[in-house]
Amino acid sequence: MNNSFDTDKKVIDHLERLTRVLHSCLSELGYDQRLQLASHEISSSKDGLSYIVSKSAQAAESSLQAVENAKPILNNLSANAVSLHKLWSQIPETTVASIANQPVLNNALQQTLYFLHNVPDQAASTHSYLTEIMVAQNFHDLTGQVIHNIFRTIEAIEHEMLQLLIDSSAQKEAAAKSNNSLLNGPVITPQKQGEVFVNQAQVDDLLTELGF
Amino acid sequence: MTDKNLRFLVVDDFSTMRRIIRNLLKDLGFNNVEEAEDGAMALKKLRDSNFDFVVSDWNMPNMDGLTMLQNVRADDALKDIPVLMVTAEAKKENIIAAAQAGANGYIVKPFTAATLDEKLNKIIQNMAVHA
Repeated sequence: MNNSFDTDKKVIDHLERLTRVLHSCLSELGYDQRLQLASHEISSSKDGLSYIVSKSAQAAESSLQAVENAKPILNNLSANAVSLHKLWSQIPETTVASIANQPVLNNALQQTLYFLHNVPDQAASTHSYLTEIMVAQNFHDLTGQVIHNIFRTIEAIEHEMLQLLIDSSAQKEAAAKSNNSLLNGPVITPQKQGEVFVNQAQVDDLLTELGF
Repeated sequence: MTDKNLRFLVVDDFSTMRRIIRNLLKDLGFNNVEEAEDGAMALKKLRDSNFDFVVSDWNMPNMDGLTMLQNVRADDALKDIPVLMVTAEAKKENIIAAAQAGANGYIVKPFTAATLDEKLNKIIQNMAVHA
């Protein structure tokens, strides 16, 4: 008992001495000013990240709004083309035959019918491009999660900056612990993160293996 | 024939993602969609009214998607509701944990409209078989 107490005390005394030496070294080197500067930089990095979050949120929201506004217009266009095509197709054949000798009118009729016939297909393609634009906005969720994690890290560094010198070993432990968590957010460096699944096909394969 | 009146609950802490999934469901003909911001709110909504399908994120404040899924499966009134996970969490452990907790499907973000369509239909077809 006494032995372990003595050892602990020796270690703590030693740490105290080391810390004092380190502190005076850092002061001589002007590190206290550096720390002050760093704290200012940290604060402005946080502002920078908040700016990125708010600007990308705005961009994503306005893209989504534009897509949501455009889709009904497109659907209307397509439906109107279909009904107009139907109307023109109901013109009796005898009437169509009667303008066969009027090339300008006949040509206009054929081209109009052709155009109206093609509108729904073109509207459908445009619709799927709009869907692509909409789904692409999920970058906001992904980058948002990553930025949120960076933000929390920076905040932790800010709070711990002075203590960091003393309990660096505890920090390492905490970092190692967080690597085993199930809450990691998007995969930004797959090569560094062990067994991660960056595409749907890999996920599907694993689920099949698991009997899904 | 898919029942277009299926009632969906979309759970995600990012409003952008909820909006995207809601729009995709609308494109697939599902207009009966409600939203929840986290697992705790989702559980409350699930217990307060009837839903046929849950599409959920994993990483959310208050209660994450896995805990919500475990709660759903442990609740006799909710345990049969299909839950499709749509998440950026992509570790092997995540997928195994979700499968063990009883997820009906797992989509990694970023995903495409076609992937959502495919996984959704697969689950809905299974629902029809087991109904």
